[in-house]
Amino acid sequence: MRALRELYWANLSEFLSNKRALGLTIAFPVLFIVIFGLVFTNQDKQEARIGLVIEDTGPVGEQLAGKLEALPKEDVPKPSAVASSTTDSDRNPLSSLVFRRGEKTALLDDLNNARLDAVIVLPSNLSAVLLAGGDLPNPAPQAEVELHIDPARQTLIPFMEGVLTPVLRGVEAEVTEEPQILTLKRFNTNARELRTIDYLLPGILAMSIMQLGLFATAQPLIALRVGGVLKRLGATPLRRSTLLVAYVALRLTVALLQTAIIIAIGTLLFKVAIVGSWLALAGWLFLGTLVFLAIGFFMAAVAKNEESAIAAANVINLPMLLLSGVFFPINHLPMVVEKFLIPLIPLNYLADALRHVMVDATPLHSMQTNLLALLAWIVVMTALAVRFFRWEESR
Amino acid sequence: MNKPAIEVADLVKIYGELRAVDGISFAVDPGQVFGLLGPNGAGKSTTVEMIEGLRKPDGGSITLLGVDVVRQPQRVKELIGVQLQSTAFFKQLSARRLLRLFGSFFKKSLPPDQLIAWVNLEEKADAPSAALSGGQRQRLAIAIALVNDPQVVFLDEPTTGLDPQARRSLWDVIRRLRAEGKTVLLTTHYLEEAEQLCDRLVIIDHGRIIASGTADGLIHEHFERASVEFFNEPKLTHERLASLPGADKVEEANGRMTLYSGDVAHTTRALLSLADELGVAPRGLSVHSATLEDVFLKLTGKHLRE
Repeated sequence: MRALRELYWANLSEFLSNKRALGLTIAFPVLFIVIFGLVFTNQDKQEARIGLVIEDTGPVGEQLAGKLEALPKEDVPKPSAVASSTTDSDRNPLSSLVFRRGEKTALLDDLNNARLDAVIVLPSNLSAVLLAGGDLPNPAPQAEVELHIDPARQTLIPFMEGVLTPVLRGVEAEVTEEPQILTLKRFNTNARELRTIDYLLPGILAMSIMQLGLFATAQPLIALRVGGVLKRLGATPLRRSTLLVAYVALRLTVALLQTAIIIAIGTLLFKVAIVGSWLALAGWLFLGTLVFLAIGFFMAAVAKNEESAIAAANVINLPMLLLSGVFFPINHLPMVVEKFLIPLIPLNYLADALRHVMVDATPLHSMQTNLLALLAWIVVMTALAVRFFRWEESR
Repeated sequence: MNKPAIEVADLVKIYGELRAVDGISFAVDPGQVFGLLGPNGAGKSTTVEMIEGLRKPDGGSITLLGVDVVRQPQRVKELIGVQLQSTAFFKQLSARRLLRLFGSFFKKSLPPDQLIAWVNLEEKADAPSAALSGGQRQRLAIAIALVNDPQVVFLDEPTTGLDPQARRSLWDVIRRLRAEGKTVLLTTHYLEEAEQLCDRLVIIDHGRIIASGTADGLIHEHFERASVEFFNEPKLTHERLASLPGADKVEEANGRMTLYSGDVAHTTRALLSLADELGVAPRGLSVHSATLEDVFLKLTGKHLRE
């Protein structure tokens, strides 16, 4: 255990002094996400565009709609507890709401095409139920206000629910004594149009992991071999497995760190939503790290020296990035490339899986191809690395 | 007599067509500094690395402190200290850190500070190892080799590439190893180093031992002759010199005469008497006895460093 800890530390200090590795695994991806984030989130307006469908022909529908539409204009005095906890307390938080009335089908279509952020439907039985007074049958019928929203809008959902509920209760209290007749029901829309940044983030995650394997795995190991450090370690009772575990453990830590940084920037700065489970995301990231570590070990096994490993990594890196759809969807490629080359690129499977998990929570069983492809890469590359790896320079 | 610390018998290592080590046998007594001498590519390092358990021999047996190295290389590694030819360590780590790292590989290890003091590296104890000079790096390599307080220490060409001052300082370290009772197996292609440090030595060429013994013993065994040199003096002619007692050969080159003799004391006395009679003084007179270099030259027909 002590040997493992000391070796881990040794690897860490070597990694931290390796500017190329640091740059390509952490600085470069962070720069990417920030630049792309800034470029592509400008087109996303700050306001929340709400479609309003009034199916109720009675007075309550119009009354409710009026109240909602008045929200952005009000100078709402906020409860002091809330005011003290926010910095821009002088601003009405509801001023970002923009309402647009219309037909249900048209507005839902707009929502599906990302021209709206949410749609509120005031049901046709609204006035009838609320104005029925005490003549209601038991159990009392309910009027269901619909909120159609993308489940990925994780900040908008509680916001909208928080805004709507008091308004509904207020109107309810004005027209009837029966409590809780109005209910709010959420409907998920799935056909969300991806923002560019939503599409990019998983790709950049995959890229950063690939670069960990390509640029921070092979070269340092070759340096240890060429410098005779591996041979010197071989003259001690240290087991090779311990050495390997320390080497891999450090890189898993780096992978964890880089993905955490990238995800944090994406979600906090650019509001990228992660729809799928964190566990699934972590699982794919782990798998992807193993794939590219295995490729790194393979490169370390076959490359003659550090320079040729770096050159090889550069040669592999760029086509992988271009052909993997990390930065743009891969369409309009020549048939030959699309049919034979694309399926060979491991980055595709990783980026694709990450994108699915983050964007629409695709369950694992529908990503079997990705899983198998990545596992195959791990097995093949590990086998080749084991077959060709040398612990010292040949004589 | 003690059981040998290292005993090697009929050691063979074959690389493809090349018999890199071709039937080497020797024994090293405990507490000795034992030298493996030979030109580059003679098979010294291969031999040493087989004894260290780093390479598997293709034939022969190795016993180290009673352990069969061929069958139990892992057990041997616990017992020995190793300094390999031209080892770079983790470049960013300091001497202190490296000693902790290597110490963690062994069941027992000495404190880094003690080892650093032992090789006089206190000033550079916390500098990254990449910033050390060649001599300091070799001293660090020796400190690391001592981290498990081994009985047997292997030093593979420790002074190669060092300037004379650094070399001498490293010799002191090796002498202190001997004083502490360590058994040292030293390979070198510096004959002076072997003469200075080694209790016993073997000369290896083409994977075979071509001579063994002490440095003095080898010189005496192969050279009874010594040579007398002086600047050319016309009256001291070739014929007169050749007739001096003991002189068996006279050479003239670069303005100097060289007189080879099997009895250098007699020859020198006769030479000086002759010069007196002729009323001349042989300028630049010097007497040379043979060195290991001469032994090597005689045995292999080539110089050690070529």
